[in-house]
Parts: sequence; C-alpha cells; structure tokens
Amino acid sequence: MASGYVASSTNYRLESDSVNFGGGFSSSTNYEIESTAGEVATGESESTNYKIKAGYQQMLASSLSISAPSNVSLGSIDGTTGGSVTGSVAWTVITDNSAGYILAVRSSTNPALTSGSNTIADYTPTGAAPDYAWSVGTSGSEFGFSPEGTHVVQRYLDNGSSCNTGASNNSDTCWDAFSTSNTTVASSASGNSPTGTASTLKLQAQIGADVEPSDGTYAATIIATATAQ
Amino acid sequence: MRKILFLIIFAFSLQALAATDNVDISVEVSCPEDNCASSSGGGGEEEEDPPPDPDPVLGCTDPSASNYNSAATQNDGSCIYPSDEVPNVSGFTGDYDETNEEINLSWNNPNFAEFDSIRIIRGNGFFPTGPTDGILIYSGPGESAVDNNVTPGNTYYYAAFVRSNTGDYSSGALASVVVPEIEPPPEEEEPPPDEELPPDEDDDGIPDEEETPDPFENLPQAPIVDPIVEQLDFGDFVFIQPGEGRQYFTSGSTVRINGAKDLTVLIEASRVPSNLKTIAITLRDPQNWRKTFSFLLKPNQTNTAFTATIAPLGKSGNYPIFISIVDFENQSIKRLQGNLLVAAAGALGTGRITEVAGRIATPIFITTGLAVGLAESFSLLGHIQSFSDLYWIIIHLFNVLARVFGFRRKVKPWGTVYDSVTKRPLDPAYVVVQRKGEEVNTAITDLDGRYGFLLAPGAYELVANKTHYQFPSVRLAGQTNDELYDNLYHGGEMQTAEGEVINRNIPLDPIAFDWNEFAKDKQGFFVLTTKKEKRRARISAALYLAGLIFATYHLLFNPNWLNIIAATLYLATPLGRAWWKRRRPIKQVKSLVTGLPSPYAIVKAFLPKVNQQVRSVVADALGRFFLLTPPGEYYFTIEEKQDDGSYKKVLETPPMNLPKGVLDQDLTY
Repeated sequence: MASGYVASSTNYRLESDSVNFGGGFSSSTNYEIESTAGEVATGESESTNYKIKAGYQQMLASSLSISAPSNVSLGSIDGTTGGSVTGSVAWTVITDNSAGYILAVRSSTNPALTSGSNTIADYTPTGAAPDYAWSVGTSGSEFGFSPEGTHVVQRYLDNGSSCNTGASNNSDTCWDAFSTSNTTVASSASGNSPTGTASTLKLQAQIGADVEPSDGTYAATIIATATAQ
Repeated sequence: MRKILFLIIFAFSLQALAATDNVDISVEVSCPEDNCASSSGGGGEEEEDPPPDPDPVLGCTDPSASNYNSAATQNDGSCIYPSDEVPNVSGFTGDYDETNEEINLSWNNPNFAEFDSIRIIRGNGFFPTGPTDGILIYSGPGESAVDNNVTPGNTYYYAAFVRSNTGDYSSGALASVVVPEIEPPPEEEEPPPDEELPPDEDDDGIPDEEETPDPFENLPQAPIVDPIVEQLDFGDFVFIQPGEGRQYFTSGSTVRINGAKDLTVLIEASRVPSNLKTIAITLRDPQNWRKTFSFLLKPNQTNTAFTATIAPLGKSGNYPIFISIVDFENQSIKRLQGNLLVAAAGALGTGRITEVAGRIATPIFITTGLAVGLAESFSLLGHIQSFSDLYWIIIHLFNVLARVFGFRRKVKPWGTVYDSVTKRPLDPAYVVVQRKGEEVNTAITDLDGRYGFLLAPGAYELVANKTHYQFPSVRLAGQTNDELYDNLYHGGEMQTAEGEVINRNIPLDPIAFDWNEFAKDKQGFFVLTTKKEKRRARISAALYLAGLIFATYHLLFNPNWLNIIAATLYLATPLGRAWWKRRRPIKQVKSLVTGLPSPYAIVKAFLPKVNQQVRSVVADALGRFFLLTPPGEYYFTIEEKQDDGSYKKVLETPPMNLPKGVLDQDLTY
C-alpha cells in the first residue's frame, strides 16, 4: 500500500477496498455476513518500513496517516562571519481515531546536525522550558526548533514572554532542542479525518561570529512519529 | 523520504497505531576565504574541552523599555523608555476647500513637556518618511496649516512631525487629501428633485463611499515579497504603555490597551528586512469607520527597532487597526488587520496632566462615593421593620459598593440564551465556544436559559443553537441591550481576561413562530382557549361530583375500610388542590378593557423603599406567570407587549405585602 487510502472525495476517504469476483451480503435471524469469494493476493506481508494486511476482513477499525514533506535546505552560513539560517517543515496528521493522536519528533543522531565528525550542537534552552526567544551567543553554534500549529502541546505555548505557560502560540517562539528520544510537539484528543491537522516545525541554525567551524554540509535526519492515543 | 501507514485492528487490547516520516535537514557552512578551522571542531561541542562560556550579548534587558532585546544577556544602558519617545500629534486630517482652492490641515498637539514645534511636510508622490523628506508646509507651534499650492486631480500626502526642544522628532502622523477635478458647470438641466445625492459627510464633493480613509488600503501589491515580511504577523508587534505590561497581539489579532495613556508601538528591527521604506499603522474610529488616523513607525536611536508613540486615544472602543508595510516603490508588501481594544479611557481624561489629576481625583471620588453610598444605605436602617428589610438593605449596600468600585450593576456571573421575541429564557439551548474555528467547550443551558464558561485568557467566539431558532438574532442586531437583558452577543470574536467568566446574553430569533401573526390572531385564540378550558373544567367537576356522591352513598350504607379510604381521597382532593394552589400560585396578567390575558407581558417586582428591582418574569402565551420572591413588601409593574414587538408599561401597583413571598392575585390593568 503506497498511501493511507485508496480513494477519496472532498468529504470521504475509502481506507481500503478488495479485488474479488464473488460474495455478497447474507443474513439469518441471529447472524449477518458480508462474504467475499475468490479474493486474490490475501494475507499479511511486511518489510522494514511497510506493513500490509491484504484481504477482506482485514479492514481496520481505525486509521492514522502522516504526510511526507520534502527535505529542507536551510541555506548557507558564511563560516568566517557566522550567521543564522531558518526554515520550516510541516507534517499533517490525519486520523479517525476518536481519542486523537500524538505527534513526536526526534533526531537520528546526537547532536542532530552533523557533517562527518563535525557537529553543530543542539539548542540549549536556559531553563527547563523552551526559550521564548532564540538566543545563541557569539561563541556558540546551535540548531533547534519551534513548533507551531493548533495542536501544539502546552510546553510550546506561551504567554507572550515565557513558554510552557499561557495559551498563545506566537510565531518563532519557544525554541527547543532535538533529542534522539521522542519529543511530543502536538497532540489532539479527537479525530480530525478527513481534513487532518498540520503542525509546523520552525528550524533554526546559528553559528556565532567567534566560532571557527569546519566547512561542509551539515545534515540532520528528523523522524516524526504520529501515534494514536 | 518515506511515507508509511500502519493499519492495525483494535481488538480487545489496543495495539500501537502509528505512522512515521523522516525529513532530512541540511545546512551548508562555507569558508570562502579559508578562514575557518581546517580540521575537526565544527561549531559545536568538542568533547575534550568544556564548552566555553557564552559571551554576553549586549543590549537592553529591561522588558519595559521600548527597545527591549530579548536576546541580550547584559544590559548596556541603551534602554529607551516610551516616555523618552517624542509622541505624535493626534487627529491629523486634511480637507480640500473648494472655494479657496486650498487644503486645510489640522491636528491636536500632544501634551508633551518637551514640546517645541510642529513640522508639516508634503511628500513627493507619497508620504514623507522623515521631517526633511519633502516640501515644508508649516513649522510652528500651531494646530492648523494651509497648503494653497495644489492642483485639481492630484492626491497630496502629508506628515506631521512633532519636534522636541532637544531636536528630536516624532515618527510622523499621516494624512492624504484628494483634490477633485474641476468639472464643467452643469448645463441647464437640474437633477431631478427626487434623485438623492450620495452621502458626503465632509462636503468635499467626493462621496463618502468613494473616499479612501486608509491611505494604504489601495496601494498596489508588490509582485515579490521578501520571505521575512511574508512571515510577519501581529505577534511581532509590541504595544507598550507607561506602567502597563508589554502587550502583544494575542490569538492572532487583538490587543488591549489603556485609552488614557500614551501608546508606543514597536517591532524589532530584526523582524523586518533592512531595505523596507515604510511601516505605517492606521486606526479606524470605532464609532465612525470613515474616520481614520495613520502614523509611521521609525527606527529608534539604536536602530534595534521601529517604533512610534501616539497620544492617548481617549475614547473607549474596539479600534480596527491596519499595519501596512510598504517598499521603496510604494507597493504594499504586507498588510495586517486586527483590533485594538481600548478601555478605561475618558474616565480620567487624557494626557499626563489629567493622568496625574486622575490619580489624585480617583481616591477622592471613591471615598466620597463610598461615604455617600453608606450614608444612603444606613439612612434606610430607620425603616427596618422586618428581617427581609434588613436583607434587602444589605443587598443594596453591596450594589452601592459595586457601583463605587466600578463594577457594573447588572452583570451576573452567567449568560442567558433567550427568545428575542418573548424574552423568555430558552432551555435547552446548546452553546459552543470556539477558538479559531475549533470547538473549545460546550454547555447546555439550564431551566433558566443560563450558561457560563471559565476559559483561559484569549479570543473566543460563541455559537448558540436551538431547534426552530436562529443565531445570531436579526431582530436585535446591533443592539447592546433590550428591555430585560444587557451585554448582548451577536457573534464575533470576544476577549476574555484571566479569571473572567463568559456571561454574554444571547438572543435567538424564533424562525417557526410569527409574532405578528400571533398578535393578530390572539383575540380569537384566547376566546377559543378559554372556552375549551371552561368545557374541560365543567366535565372534570361533573365527574368529581358524581364520584363524591357515590363514595358518600357507599360510606353511609356500607361503611367498610375501602369506602372510608375512597371517601377520604375524594375529600382530600380539593383540599390538596387548594394547598398546591397556595403553595405554587400561577397567576395571570389580564386587561380589564378586553377581559383577555396579556401574552408575553413582563412582570417586574420592586422594593418600594429603594425602588430596586428584585425579580422579573415573562408571562406565557396565555398571560400566566409564576413569581417567587423573598418575603417582604413589593410593588409590581406590567409591561405589555405591543404588536410591533416593543413593550409599553401599563401598570404599576401600590406596594403589596407578600409575607410568604408569593403573589396571590392576578395582575389586571
């Protein structure tokens, strides 16, 4: 299955269908059955990244999907003068699970941005909560993120001056560091199918003016995981 | 790049339902002059060496300063406070004088201790960006100027700069004037007498609807917009007032300010590109949207922010605010729209002098008001004749205190959903709180149509739903109160503060009930209903009497336990009915002229000694009502519903003593 659904319209999505040449609906006083005959290519298969449950009666009770945004190039920083670059990536999670979902992110390495043996450190908030404003000294070089969206969790909400308090989700605020463990950035207590909800990670990397970095392409792989609640 | 979907059946135990996606992020670090480190180390952590202490970031670290730098770690003494800014003039407007063919400019000077003069500059094709960017029209301490070098068909752009006695200038207030083309005199034919001319409030020959009060509204859109500007939103703008906390636009588009204080608007320079020309803010008058006031933001002394200070707005209200960002080709590259909620203005006047006067006067007025209120309340003590009198005097005292301390008298800690025609509370109605279109909370109104929400501070919208009713009310559209309810809500965004309960009253229009039709037919309706009720009463009485006769007969001639119980029940029934009637008397409002009940009349109960309304109730379609009050003496008023839906007071009774708090008679007029 290449995508999370097989057909859709503005208001509906067909999560699965069946290839067959027989069957139908039957009922008695106590039982009802929707039978399928001659179905082809049934059974379970899975690889590292995919799992399929093919065949009638394998239809699920709930579904969840996540979008696949493009890779992000933050741009270039002149290592001699330092500077910062920004970008963003947005994931849209769609689920009909009535208890909602959780969206978490993690990096594949520690620190996240690496170029061979060279690294750019993960962002270091000054306290337990994320920093309301991005702040990196002239002798530091760091990489971090700031989540935005209607389902952003309390840790990234703010009151106009601090994070993990208040109810605002001001843009480009509440900066945090990636970790190799999952960090929850968004959650919802209800389903959102078929429209889904986008959560955006604002990304920023900065190299201080006093730093002498090694040149090269620094790369990070960010893994977003949406889990049904 | 992968996209996968796991589909798992929920059986008796919930299995993990999850989906993942990987995104690669990359940053190029280049060393064009080969000045970077040639080997490992990067910019990050080197395990052998402890990370060096970050160098202090110099800047203003005082959040109350207008150039506060959130990234600064060490205060370098550069803080600039709102009071240091030169405030702009207010009410800067221009009008074309057709007779003298000149443009008259007028403004109000700020109440500013270091005030020196005003400099009016006419821009070359667009608004001036500084006190030397254009032709000098006026320089002096006055509050008006004339520009008589104007040509018909042109638009003229002006800026008023306030100069301080230290030589500093304000950011600039803006005005633009269109000089109309000279039209040839009309030929013989006069316009037909019944042809109405379009409205033209300022008599400048340009219909109001053709004017452009916001000079930035119709600027051409720039084809290319800098990504930094693209990302700008209201959250980037900060509003600062002396003695108040920094205010940001919350929930997207609204900010609250004190209308009695100077206002400084600020955006950090790092939030906007360096090559931009103009950031201008336009405010619309909340009571007349044709009136606008615009001003510029200019770089502060340290070039860390764009800022402007304006004199107190004075008038309370919800000012629509437009922020326009313009490039060097006078093209609009960003336009934001929001609201400035201005409160507590006017009570203390405007400006620093009146602010100081207000600080002194306020406690005097509060103390005096409190003393008067207490004297008024205690003077009633001589009239106490019962505990209920004492109770109501205490309630009155609380009302006086609430009034003195500025609380509204009628505010209740709940809102009511009610019928806009009959004024009766609606239950059950379904009230939904939304934030940015998403449902936040819901409530079902109780028997009295009441609901309430305690929410986190922010901007919310309410929607009330009930079958056969329409929201928002069209009948009461635009009204803030009616005969019974105030603080009406007709949709739209509303702000809540910390600890504030949402208690707006929501009228709904009945869409399955035509009041006018009902009013026209009510005569026949009541006659029919009365006849029907009388017939039903006669049948009931006949059946009861027959049963009582049979029970009495059997009790006399066959006195067993069963017949005793039956006869007792027959005797107890009228007694119980009388008891119930006394305990819960449903009374009626009637007209003595027509002999018919008054449908949907409003009955109000008042305390005679203090003329304080204590209860109100709306009669039903048959004029029936039920009113329960605390024991005591009251007088009642009746407001009869007229055929056009309005109400007219038709009766005020003399004071009546209600020892049990129930009215035991119909109200007739």
